[in-house]
Amino acid sequence: MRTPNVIRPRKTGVMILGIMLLVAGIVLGSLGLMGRSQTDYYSRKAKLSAGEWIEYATGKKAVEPLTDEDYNGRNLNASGKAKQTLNELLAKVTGLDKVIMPYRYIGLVFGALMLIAGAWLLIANDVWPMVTVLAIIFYLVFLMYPLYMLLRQALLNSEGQLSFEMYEKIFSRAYYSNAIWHSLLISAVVTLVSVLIATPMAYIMSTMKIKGAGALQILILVSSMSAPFIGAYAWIQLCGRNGIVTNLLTNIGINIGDIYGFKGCVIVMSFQLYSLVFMFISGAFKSMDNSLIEACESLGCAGIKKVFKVVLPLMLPTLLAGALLVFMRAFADYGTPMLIGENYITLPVLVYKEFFSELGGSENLAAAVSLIAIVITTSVFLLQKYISNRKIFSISALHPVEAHPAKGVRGVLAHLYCYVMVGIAIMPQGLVIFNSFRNTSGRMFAPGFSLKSYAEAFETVSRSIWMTYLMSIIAIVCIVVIACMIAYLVVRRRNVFNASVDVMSMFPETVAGSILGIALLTAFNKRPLLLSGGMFIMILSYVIRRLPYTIRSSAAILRNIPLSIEEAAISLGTSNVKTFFRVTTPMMMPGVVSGAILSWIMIITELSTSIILYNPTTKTMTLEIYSQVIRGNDGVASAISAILTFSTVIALALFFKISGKKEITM
Amino acid sequence: MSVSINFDHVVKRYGDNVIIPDLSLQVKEGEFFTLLGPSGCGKTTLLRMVAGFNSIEGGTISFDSQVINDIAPSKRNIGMVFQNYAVFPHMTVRKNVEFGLKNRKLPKEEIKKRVDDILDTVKITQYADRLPERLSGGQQQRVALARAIVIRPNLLLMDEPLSNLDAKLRIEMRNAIKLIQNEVGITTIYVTHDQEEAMAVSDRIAVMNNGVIQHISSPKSIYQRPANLFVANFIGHSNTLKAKADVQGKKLVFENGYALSYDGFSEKAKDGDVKVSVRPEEFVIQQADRPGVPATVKSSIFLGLMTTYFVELFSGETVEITDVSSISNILPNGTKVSLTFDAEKINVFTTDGETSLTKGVHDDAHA
Repeated sequence: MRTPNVIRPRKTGVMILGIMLLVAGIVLGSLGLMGRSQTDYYSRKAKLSAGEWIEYATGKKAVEPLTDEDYNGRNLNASGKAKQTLNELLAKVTGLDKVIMPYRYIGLVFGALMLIAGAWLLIANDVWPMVTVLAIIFYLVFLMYPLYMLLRQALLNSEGQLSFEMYEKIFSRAYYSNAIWHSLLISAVVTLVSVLIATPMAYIMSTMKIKGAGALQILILVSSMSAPFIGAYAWIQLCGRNGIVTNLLTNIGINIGDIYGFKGCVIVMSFQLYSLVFMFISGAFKSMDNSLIEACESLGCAGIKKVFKVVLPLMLPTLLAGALLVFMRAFADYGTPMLIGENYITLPVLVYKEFFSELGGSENLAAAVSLIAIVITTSVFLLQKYISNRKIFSISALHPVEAHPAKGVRGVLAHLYCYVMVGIAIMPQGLVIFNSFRNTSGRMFAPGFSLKSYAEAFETVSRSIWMTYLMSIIAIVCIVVIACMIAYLVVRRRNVFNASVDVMSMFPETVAGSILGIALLTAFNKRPLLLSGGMFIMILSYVIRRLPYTIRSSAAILRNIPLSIEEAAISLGTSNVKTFFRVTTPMMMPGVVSGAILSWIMIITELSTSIILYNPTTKTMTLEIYSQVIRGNDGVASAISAILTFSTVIALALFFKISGKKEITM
Repeated sequence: MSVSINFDHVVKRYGDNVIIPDLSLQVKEGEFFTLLGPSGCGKTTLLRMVAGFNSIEGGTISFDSQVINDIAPSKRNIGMVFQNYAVFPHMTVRKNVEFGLKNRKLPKEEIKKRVDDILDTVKITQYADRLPERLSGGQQQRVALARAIVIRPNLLLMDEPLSNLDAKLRIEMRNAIKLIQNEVGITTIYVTHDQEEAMAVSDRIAVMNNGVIQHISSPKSIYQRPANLFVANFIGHSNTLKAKADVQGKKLVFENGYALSYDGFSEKAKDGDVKVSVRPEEFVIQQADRPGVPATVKSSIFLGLMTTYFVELFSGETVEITDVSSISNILPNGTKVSLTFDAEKINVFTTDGETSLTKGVHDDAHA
């Protein structure tokens, strides 16, 4: 890889001035905005004009002390109450407020002017430093600051001093420490089981011709893209206490025991997540060189020995990458343990309960547990990176591995294995779609089929459906724009600042969704930084969480576009910016858009962040399904799930059309 | 233990698509045998049938007298060198080379000794503990070669082993391969599309086209007395001229009436139309007033040792002629010349190009 060397005249002084103006403009403008919002808020509460309120707040006018006239007998009358309210409000005003409230318009105007001036200076010179600055500000404000607030909350006691009180509590009480242990155990076992299911399957499907392999691939894909808790829900319907299979077996005298707790979590998550490992390893087989396998055979090493000596070691990095993804998903899954875990509490469930519980919950404790979770996931992430980087080899796949017809008993067993495993993985969606068409009476399923559940869903919860599409589409547009720009910075303009943007943008990968949600809520739940409770914070969380994947896929595409193409455009007299938009972007687009479609699917099926950040107006489909399931309204829940699955399938079809690929590599 | 290999009416089909219709040949023990042909001629397919990676649809391949059609690749005791080396990227050079020996469960000291010896033979001892990604292409190919011959295979197969190397390294490596093969003395089948490479390394060459063997002989014999026009054109460069044969009068009469006295007709030759294949160095350029085929110099390229002329014949055809460069001037464009031929070297073929009418053709394929 050549280092980018688009030569252009650099005016360092102008650039630094531009960047300083830009940053100052943003800070000043934000302060102005905050001042305005604070003034509006307080003056409305105090029932005063903005001007009068500021006079009080800045101490130009003092509140008159309460006099006898303010009392109506023993109680305060209206004027007395107004004075008291004013005093209460004034007590809340901070030093910052006193500065920003009177100068709010000056801040806004000057901020805007400096922003424009800075941006103009930079654009006239080179647009990319500005993008770097904006990206850094974005991540500092919306990712690092929330995480810092979370850290504070985890490590400070109610007096604001450093204390490890919460950690003593966590590690001294089994209820808390068990949740951590449970999460680790579930994630590790699920990862292991997924690898054990997926590796043979990928090997079989890459080396043998399996009938209906195309259909199997699509089913595997769909199963991996379902909302996280639909699996749990379907398994409960089949094998739960009153499940179809359970009842059937009880009738003929077999007791299979129950599926709840650890066992249930592992079964549900493994069958949902093994598809990720499968996709990774299948991809690795595509880039495997068949000559290596033949060389191995010609040296007298065949069969299973060949797999362990040559095939697996070469696939180790890919295998680990897939396993890591499974570990992260299993660790962060909130819905599955909530539904099927019952008393087997896991870390995300504990965090949620502590954060929102009205009885004895503690935000500090939730933050402390979150911090532990971040440490665990980050360590696992770094460990995986460390091992992979040491074991990664470039293979020139001159002769890719080909599938041969499967014959005899081996062929039958191979087919059976693939069909059964894919069948179990897709079962939840199948069951849910089937249920969605069943006739209902009240909340119960009735014999026969009808569209009643869909009708009811559209009647009662259509808002959540439209809300899901609206928010996810806005988010995905933001993601595409930001990802393209950051990918360009990271690939073509390698420097310290852009490397830091790279690191920050990847960090959300290692933070579980619910924990990012809590961090955002902790940071933006109080005036003057009040962002929670609306669409903005939901979209923000989607953008931050899905950016890493989209940036990575965009960067990979960009690395494959030779620099000489951009150099050609520039030598033909196109400016840098124009080159990016007219040459680079169109070449990147098919890849970026297809990556964005996958991100979109993950957004519409995500639960763990939304459940922390939503309010009644921003309820999404997954949240709606979840609450309908809790309420026992299976028909509606199934109908919305089916709509979600259909959306996924359509999006996948679109993905294949745009990308022109035949499979997805993560 | 080297073996001789016998291909007996071998057939390769992919579905209805016949790649090799019917092929028979023998490779002698200890011989360096090359399959040479244009891409898609079936040479690699044939090699992979020997290795066991392609099935055999008809006929038999045997090592000495043992038919190996149904023996698994890992049991054939074959060393194979692949086009892209196929060196295991996750193992050091030493691990790569001992891989096959470990599978044969040899004692540790024996493995070490043999590996050390072979690393020395192929001159990569100093890289023994490196990972392949830190080696150059030529060094990786040496590892692949060492790995293939250290198991003392009955047979060494090489599938275009030099095609991924740059031109200079190719020449260095092909000399190394030839030397090592001589030293070890293993029967070797080598596949290439590069005729110069084939001539440099081989004891015998089989020229293939469309799955059919055209000619098997020594490099010298194939170059000088090709069995048919395809071989003449594929090995080196040839110009083809029309003429009439006068077998009794020992003459070749060209279209302008120039009669060249020619003593090389075989028994198959009959009077009538023939094709004469003339290599660029087999022309003799004379002044225009001498007897010969009249022609005009169109352009010339000075290549140091040789000068190449593109010359238009009176009939309008263009032929390529090489001449040893002299100190005196290169013939300027437009010069009228008269061409005659080195009668001992030229080859005469039937008009369909299928059969040579020159005596001295040696062909093991159609013997």
